[in-house]
Amino acid sequence: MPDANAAVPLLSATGLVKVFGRGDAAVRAVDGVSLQVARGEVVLIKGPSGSGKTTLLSMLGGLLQPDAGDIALQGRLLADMSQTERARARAAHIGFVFQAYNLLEALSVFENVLFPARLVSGRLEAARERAEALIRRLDLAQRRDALPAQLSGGERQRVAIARALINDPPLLLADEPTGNLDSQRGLEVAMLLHDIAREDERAVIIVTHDPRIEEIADRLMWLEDGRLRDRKQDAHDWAVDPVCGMRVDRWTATQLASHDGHEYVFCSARCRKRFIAGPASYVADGVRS
Amino acid sequence: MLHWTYKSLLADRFAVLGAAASIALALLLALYLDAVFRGEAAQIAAFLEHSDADVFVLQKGVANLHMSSTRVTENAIAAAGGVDGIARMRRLVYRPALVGPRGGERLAYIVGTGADGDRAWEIEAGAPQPAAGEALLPAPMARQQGLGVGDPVRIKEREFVIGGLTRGTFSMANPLIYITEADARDLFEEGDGADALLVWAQPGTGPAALSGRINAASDDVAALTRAELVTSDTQLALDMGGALVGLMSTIGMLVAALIVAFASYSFVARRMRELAVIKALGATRASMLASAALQTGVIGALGGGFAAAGIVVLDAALALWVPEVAVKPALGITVVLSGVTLLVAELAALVPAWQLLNVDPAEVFNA
Repeated sequence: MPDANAAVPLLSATGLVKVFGRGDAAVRAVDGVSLQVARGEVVLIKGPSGSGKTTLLSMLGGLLQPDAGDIALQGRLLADMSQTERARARAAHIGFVFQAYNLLEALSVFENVLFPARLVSGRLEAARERAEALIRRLDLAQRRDALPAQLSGGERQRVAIARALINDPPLLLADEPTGNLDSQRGLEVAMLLHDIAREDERAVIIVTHDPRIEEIADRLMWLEDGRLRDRKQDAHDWAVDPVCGMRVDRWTATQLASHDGHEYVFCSARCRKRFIAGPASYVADGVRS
Repeated sequence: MLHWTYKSLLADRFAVLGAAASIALALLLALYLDAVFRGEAAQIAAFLEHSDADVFVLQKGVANLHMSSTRVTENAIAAAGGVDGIARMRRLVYRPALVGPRGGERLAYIVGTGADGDRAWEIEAGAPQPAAGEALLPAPMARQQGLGVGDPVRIKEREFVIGGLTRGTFSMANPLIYITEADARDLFEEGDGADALLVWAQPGTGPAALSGRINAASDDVAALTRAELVTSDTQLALDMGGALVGLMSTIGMLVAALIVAFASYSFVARRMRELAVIKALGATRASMLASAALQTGVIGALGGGFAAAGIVVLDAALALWVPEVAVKPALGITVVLSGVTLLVAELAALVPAWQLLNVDPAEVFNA
């Protein structure tokens, strides 16, 4: 018998827009992003600094309200939830992993891992055993009673991952999870996130600059100037900006314009603007991307 | 959430204890002042508390045996003595006088003691009853003047010998000194007169009924039951300090509340990032408010507890170092003052609580 939930994506975002500031100072941090993520899928979101990655992740995690667009978690719109319901949904259905670990300094490893279970009513007792199991799984048994200040960066990130998993959430959101780790620890954490997605059938969305993580991703998306597009891993489709002649990857390009039935890509909004003002002069020169 | 609050407060224990100690100090000022006035009141009323007379008859318009003087006329004595239900009646000599060496005198009330019914003291040293020519002085007063049992003491230009030292009858305002009734009459040239009457009721006659009859029998006297007079004298003492105690209590309470609020604010400010994390992980507004209330409550309750413990310690310490200051801490006022402080502190802590509620959970993504 087919799973009725199988047809519904775990996370669905449609036409997300987030604008900061007003008037001339307004910045469209996220501009019409749509995204669907299924269980067991690892989605990597990359992009330059300031491209809107963190804003997008905040919205997907229900921490920030979009100015337009909808986000549905397991088929339920976040916009339809009250503030308390959203908080409860975060606690029960979303695990967070942060670049800065964000462990609670006064709590031991065990207490940190257990903490989210305290936020979901009726889960605490069952979660104690689960916390012990996660601590063993993430190789933290020797550090069970240590405080965060006594842990290495890798250990802290593993504690953060265990904490993210304590309520058995179907969705994990990770912001630069390897950002503060050396290459060895970074790779370990990346593999751990991969295993979590595969073995536990969770969706994992990772925002990162780290190219090592590309290996574990099922889908790689590129966010630039607030717009998102799929990009094949390790694949490039080079084109030439008809205005300045710079080489631009079609997969990552966000500045596009059509002229005479042909699509041109640009390195920047400035080049695109100049092209639109007089396309014939650039095409006539024979510079066609 | 509450677990985290508790553990974080524990991690910050020195700051929490410092804040609680500061609150205790602020409250202690008010509580100590209150305790001093209560101690004074208890000592002032000691003579009455220990007397077994049912009714005290004073001059019309007088309702206290302290900060006042009274004189009962022969006509009034005759009228009062004629009412039904009196088992016995004694004329009391009770006058203020200067006591001590020339230049070092202080005002005290001199009580002419009868053989029974007005023993109001505990003996620290010497004889339990004054003999002719002897005076029983409050021990703290004797110590202040460098006197002991057997030393001479001047009372209203006449020299007595200290026969004993008493406890529980010394107040900074009006210490009580006991001499024999005959000596008192002689000292104040009283003859057979009376400053007040002590009246004992016959079995079956209540003090209130008896005082009512005496008041009805004479327009020149004010008859009060012992309980009424104790209340009146105690209230007089408390009223003397009432405004001051009230002012100090208000100041102490506000200072304590400010300390709680500031401690709470600092706690929130120092943990803004952790609070953002907690909010991101799914803490509700209600649980965050409960956290704010808990931290304020813990700091305030600790401060109140320290203040209560402090007043007990202070009481014991002062009894050793400054025995002439009578301190009577009242648990009730400690609880009330701590409770009101906690309430004011919770209100004052609304600012950090509001700050806490408005923590931006998206902050957690800033590395």
